[in-house]
Amino acid sequence: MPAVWMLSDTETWRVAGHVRSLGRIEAEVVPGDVSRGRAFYEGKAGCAACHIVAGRGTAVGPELTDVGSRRGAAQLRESLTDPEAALPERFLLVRLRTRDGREAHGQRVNEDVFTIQVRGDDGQFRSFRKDELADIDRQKGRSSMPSYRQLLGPAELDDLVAYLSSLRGQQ
Amino acid sequence: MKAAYARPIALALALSSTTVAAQVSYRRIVAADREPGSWLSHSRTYGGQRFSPLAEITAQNVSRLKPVWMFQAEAPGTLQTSPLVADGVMYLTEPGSQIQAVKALDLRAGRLLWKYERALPKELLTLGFGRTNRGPAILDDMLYVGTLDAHLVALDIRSGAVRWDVEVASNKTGHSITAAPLAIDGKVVIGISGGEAGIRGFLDAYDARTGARLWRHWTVPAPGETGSETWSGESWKTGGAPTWVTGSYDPDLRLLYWGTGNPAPDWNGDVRPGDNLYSNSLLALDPETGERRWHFQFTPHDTHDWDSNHVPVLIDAPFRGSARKLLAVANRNAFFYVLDRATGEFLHGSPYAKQTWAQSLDARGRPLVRPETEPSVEGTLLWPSLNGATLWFSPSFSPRTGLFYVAAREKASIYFKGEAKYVPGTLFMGGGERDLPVDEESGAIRALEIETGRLRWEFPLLSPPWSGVLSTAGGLLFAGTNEGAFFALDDATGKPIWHFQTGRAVSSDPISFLADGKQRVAVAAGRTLVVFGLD
Repeated sequence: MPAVWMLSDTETWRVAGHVRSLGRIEAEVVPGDVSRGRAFYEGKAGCAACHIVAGRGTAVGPELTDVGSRRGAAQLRESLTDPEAALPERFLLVRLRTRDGREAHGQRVNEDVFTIQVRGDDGQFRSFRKDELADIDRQKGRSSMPSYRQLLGPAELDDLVAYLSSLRGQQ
Repeated sequence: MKAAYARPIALALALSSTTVAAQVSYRRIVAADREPGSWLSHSRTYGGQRFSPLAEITAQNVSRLKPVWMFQAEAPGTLQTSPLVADGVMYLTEPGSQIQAVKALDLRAGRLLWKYERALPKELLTLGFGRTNRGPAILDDMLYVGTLDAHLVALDIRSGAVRWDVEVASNKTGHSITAAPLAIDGKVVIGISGGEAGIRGFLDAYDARTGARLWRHWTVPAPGETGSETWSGESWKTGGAPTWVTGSYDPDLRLLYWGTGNPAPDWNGDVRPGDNLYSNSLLALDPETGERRWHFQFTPHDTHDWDSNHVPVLIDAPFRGSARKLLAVANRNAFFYVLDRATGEFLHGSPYAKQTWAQSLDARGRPLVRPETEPSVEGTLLWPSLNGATLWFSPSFSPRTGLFYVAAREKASIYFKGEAKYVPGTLFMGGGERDLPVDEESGAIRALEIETGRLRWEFPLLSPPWSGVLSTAGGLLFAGTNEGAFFALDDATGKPIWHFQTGRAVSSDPISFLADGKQRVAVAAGRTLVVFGLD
């Protein structure tokens, strides 16, 4: 793509703003109660143990501060009931074994031909040269997130989806 | 010492469990010498020495030094970041254009682990300086960054997610942040830029967990406050004295040391007769309250933009026969100063670069200013130049040699005086300056003796440098040139023993750390960070 030499700064910002808006999901009316959903999120569902919303929580899974603007209600529901059917692009769990018998498991955060970087289940980043690895088990389609199908009733699920849909980041 | 990932442990998959990640505690930063492979604060230690205790790379083997990996900033502009290194991760900041980015890199291979990107307002004001950033601060599980639109942002060190984001001041009045914050015991201290926009300078401390402001220390006193007699009329409201370079900290004395910049307007002092306290000063503050314990003003009533924004270097050494807690500054005004950092007592001052503005310093360190050195309508030729004999880039002190190292600029300016009218959000400078032909300029890396300021050796440079200096326990001194060379000198003699052409001017502060248990040296040149190692 060529540099946008033909546009002024103001025009560039307008185009950027439009392109950015294309990826945003419009707010939709969903069944469920946002405040009850928030209570489930922070309490019984334990979501904050793995996700960050508005600065609070722990970063094991993706940040959810603006998840409602990136995912529709149906997709959010699916990621709760069947997380492995709704994985984000490039998400991959890996189990690595080095030639000298050490193992690491976690989320791949980056990879090139020669190296791979993993955020382990303990939250620590680790980097490996591939020539020191005996095996890379690419757990495609796997997620460390549990299904909430059995943990929450239908009404609770509606509430949680309503809460997640309401998370739209900075407007 | 091994890097954290050198021996990965077997991990069990634990659903929904709270992760326990390494934390960069205040205690770890205070005891930074116990983990010489890390770089946990702007100058590695709170003392501002930019000295690495690592000694694998020496004069004997430095000829084998070569790039291990490189990082290229996405943003246009010049990388001036001083990265941090903790637990196998390097954290750095990119210069800002439309986006200001913070990145976490895998220390071993230089690969991106996460990034934070902040869209800057299109009407962003950066009056009198480039759109740069000089580095982050780290404390516990958060990384702290100042932004060009004058916010302070706390990021989760495992993901880059925003924990909190506070507006330090309005950018609409020319307030901005380029300095690396200093994170101390539960607090994040951040300085402000805007000395050319007529801001009233301050230094802020924020609660590291919540972002709540704990105190603000105004560097220009309000009427009735001590020092206000050095201003006239309403001039204090637009008096400048910004705090745009990271300070130092003494955890034992519980004192925070921070330099202040020029009074505003820069070149026309008529509207602000008096010493203009506490501009161009070194402030010693109580970190709990922000109250001033003592101050030392290097350049009273400055009219040449000779900010005293430097990293203060804290040194414990014998001085004239007795052990002293010292503070050393090679100032933009071309004098090298040594103070007692417990009391602020002036102990020594002498020129370290060409200067034509002062006869000498008196017994209390106050300059005896030569006549006819003020900017004038027709122009006044003076050394040093507007950008001074040194600038924001860091000096270094090596406990190995006992020498203070500074990248010195030999350059003059012709200073002009003009009208100064304050309009919020515009330049408020009252004049200008013109450089002499570049053939008249030069520079040097200089090694100064602490007790006397005497020059032990110098390594001449073709042009006035913009590079910080790093000394190491391996007996080396690293710095860079405008012509793109990154080089190592023998710290005792100044003899050059290695160099590498990076391809762009070096205008950043080098660091050193361990990756895979091996010593690395890193420096930014242009928009590339180069990490060097022996193999």
